[in-house]
Amino acid sequence: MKTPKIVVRNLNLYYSGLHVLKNINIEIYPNEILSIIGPAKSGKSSFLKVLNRLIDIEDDAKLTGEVIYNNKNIYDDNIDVSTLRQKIGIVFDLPVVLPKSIYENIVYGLKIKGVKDKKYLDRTVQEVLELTALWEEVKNRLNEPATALSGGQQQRLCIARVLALKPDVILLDEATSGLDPISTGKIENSLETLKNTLPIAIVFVTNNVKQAIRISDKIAFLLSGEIIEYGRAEEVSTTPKNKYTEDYLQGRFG
Amino acid sequence: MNFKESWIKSFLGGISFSSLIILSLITFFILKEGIQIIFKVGVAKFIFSAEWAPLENKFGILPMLISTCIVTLLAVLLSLPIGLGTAIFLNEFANPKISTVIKPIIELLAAIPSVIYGFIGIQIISNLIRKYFGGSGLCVLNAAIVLSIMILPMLVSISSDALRNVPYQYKEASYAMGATKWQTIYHITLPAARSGILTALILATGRALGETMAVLMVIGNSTQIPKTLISPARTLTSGIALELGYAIGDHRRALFGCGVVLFALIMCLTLTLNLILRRKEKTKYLF
Amino acid sequence: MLQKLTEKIIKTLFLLSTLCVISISFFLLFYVISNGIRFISLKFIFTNPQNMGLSGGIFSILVGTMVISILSVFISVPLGISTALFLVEYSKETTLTRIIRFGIESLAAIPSIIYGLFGFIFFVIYLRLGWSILSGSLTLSLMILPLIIRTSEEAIKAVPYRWRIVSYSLGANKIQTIWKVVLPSAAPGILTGIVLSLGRCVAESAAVIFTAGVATKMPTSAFDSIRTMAVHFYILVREGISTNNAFATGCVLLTLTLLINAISYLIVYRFRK
Repeated sequence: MKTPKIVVRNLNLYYSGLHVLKNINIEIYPNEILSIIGPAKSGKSSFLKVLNRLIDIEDDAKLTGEVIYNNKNIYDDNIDVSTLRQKIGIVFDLPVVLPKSIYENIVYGLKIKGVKDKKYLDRTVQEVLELTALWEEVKNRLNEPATALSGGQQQRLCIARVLALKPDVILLDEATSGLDPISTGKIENSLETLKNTLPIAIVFVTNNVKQAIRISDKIAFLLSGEIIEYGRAEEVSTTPKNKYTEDYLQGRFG
Repeated sequence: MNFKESWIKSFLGGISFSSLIILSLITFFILKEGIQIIFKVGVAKFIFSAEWAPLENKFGILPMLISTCIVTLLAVLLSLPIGLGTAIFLNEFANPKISTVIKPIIELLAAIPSVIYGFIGIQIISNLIRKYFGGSGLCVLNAAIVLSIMILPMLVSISSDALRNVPYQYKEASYAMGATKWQTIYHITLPAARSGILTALILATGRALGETMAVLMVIGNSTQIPKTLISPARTLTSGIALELGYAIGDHRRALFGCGVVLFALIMCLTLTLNLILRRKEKTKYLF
Repeated sequence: MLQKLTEKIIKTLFLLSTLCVISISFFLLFYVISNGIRFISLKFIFTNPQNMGLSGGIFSILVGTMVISILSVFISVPLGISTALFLVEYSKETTLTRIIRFGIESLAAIPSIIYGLFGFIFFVIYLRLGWSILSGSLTLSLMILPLIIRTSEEAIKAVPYRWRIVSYSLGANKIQTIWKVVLPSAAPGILTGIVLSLGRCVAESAAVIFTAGVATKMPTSAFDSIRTMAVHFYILVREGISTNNAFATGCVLLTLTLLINAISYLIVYRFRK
């Protein structure tokens, strides 16, 4: 029986006067891809931001419940948010590379933590670029600006950037929705490799039902802030227990 | 936010207050020096008396006030059509590549020191005025012309920005209904850019009002109310600059009094501008 | 038919306005530079003025101008950038920020002669600094503060919000994000503002003449009075001392101001990529 990396208990999120997440209870396991599917504005992105406390930046966000990571509620007072965000990394829907070189993008988080050992940095850069299948493409242009890369490459760079911090969890917020099918395929393959080789939990938010079915081990269906259905991917996709789930999967709404 | 960050926020906030502190200091000291003399002479007498004779303790600023208004008004009237016309041409008619080259050149004009403009006024404009209109050449007209050239770049660039910000969809809709270029400009673009152009106008007026050295060099130096455009005169600004170097006691305070009046005029303009801009925010999509 | 003709006439009128503005610009530059350039020599630039400017050059004046301008920028840049950072990064639109912005806008609208009056009564007289580089640069620094705040604020605002979010998500806190992402990205814009402010200091005369004085000697301390180029030019012209030197000084002044402003354009252009 695996131990979950993150346990969410009775989570409720309110902001801008809306009850965005309602009584969420879920466990997130390593070596697995958990897909969160659901129509727009159902709270999927907000849920991810809760997991790494990025929601703190929204001023009027209020939270009840617990998010347990490393045996502690991440919303307790003496949590080091900086380290937390490095261990629970996130990749956004649009590739957001910093206006620096490829190399500097990847080592940004490490330098924040004060890592100065050049050999370690170089080694890490190569490791993560290999994991995201970028190494061959960019190994000779590490000092060029990251903006010179294509959209798909930039997104893989964003994943590499997160991997450099040796995270326990990677959150992906519709990370392939803006990309062409080939880049999407490369990323899906990278995620598959990652979950099998490293003890990482992957949470993948997507609007694309077929993609969710294709890559996930578990699927959670989020509708209007509630988890309507949760279970192993094959079960949820072929024999959904909830009528709404079935309608959504069949494309009858959303 | 942790402790260190809130410390930094307070620190930066404190520094930000420096602008207000400076403004208060300036207001305080100018008022301190100038208000006493205004009340000593009497507010009405100070503003409406036409006698400025410091040696006899007579401090009436009416001639300076009138000259300031005439020169500023004339300068704005001269430069408005040309400045606006240029802005319209650059934004609506000209080839965009040409515009991108010309605009920086015009903005460069704005950076030229005012004493250079004054110099041109003395060397060239005064000769022209003397030839065609008579008089010594150093007069109200000269100052108005020099000022109008000085405020042109400002008018062009701010109006230009205002015109550029008119959404393309408005123009597209107009053309789609069969309007010609000028009809579109007249009925759609200009009204939509109205508040921006008004801003340009007010800022240019403020600039003309506050200009000192260029005016000082070309307006002649007379304490009388100018009777014609070719009469010499003195504005509030040039009057201050002329005598501050050697004025003492009540005379010096009277010059600060001129400063108070000037300050008040500028503040009125700034407040008017703020009022207009605030109204624009409320009626943003109606013009 | 009539319509087409009207359109053409109107277009021509606007074209004429533009040509008018452009020709005035070029004429101005041409007049000063062509008449002044023949009186400029290395000797002119590197000798101090003699005989009240009747002969000699402008060396001490050039030095004085650069010293006072650079000092003014040094004083107001930290204040300006801090204010801009506070307004963009650390606060929302509250009454507090609105009051601060009102202060900045008002300062921007104040004419230079009022700064001159203030500098005179406050720095020269009240604080007993006398006519000096110190009084002059303190006064000028107040004058350019709104410009630096405005350009820095725009530059900082222009940094995409997403970059800040990414930085936070990689574990950086606010200060690290500002230092490593925001400021480097806003640097060209901030630098442009600084260069433009430098240009304003060089071009300024009314605020300087009553605070830094009119001494022509080479300054040896911050308490010495100096004459800037714009002031020297003004005095030469007004007292009719020497038309040749006036043209020469004007030429150098004009070239310097144009050069400084051209540099600001180059910065924007180079960093646009």
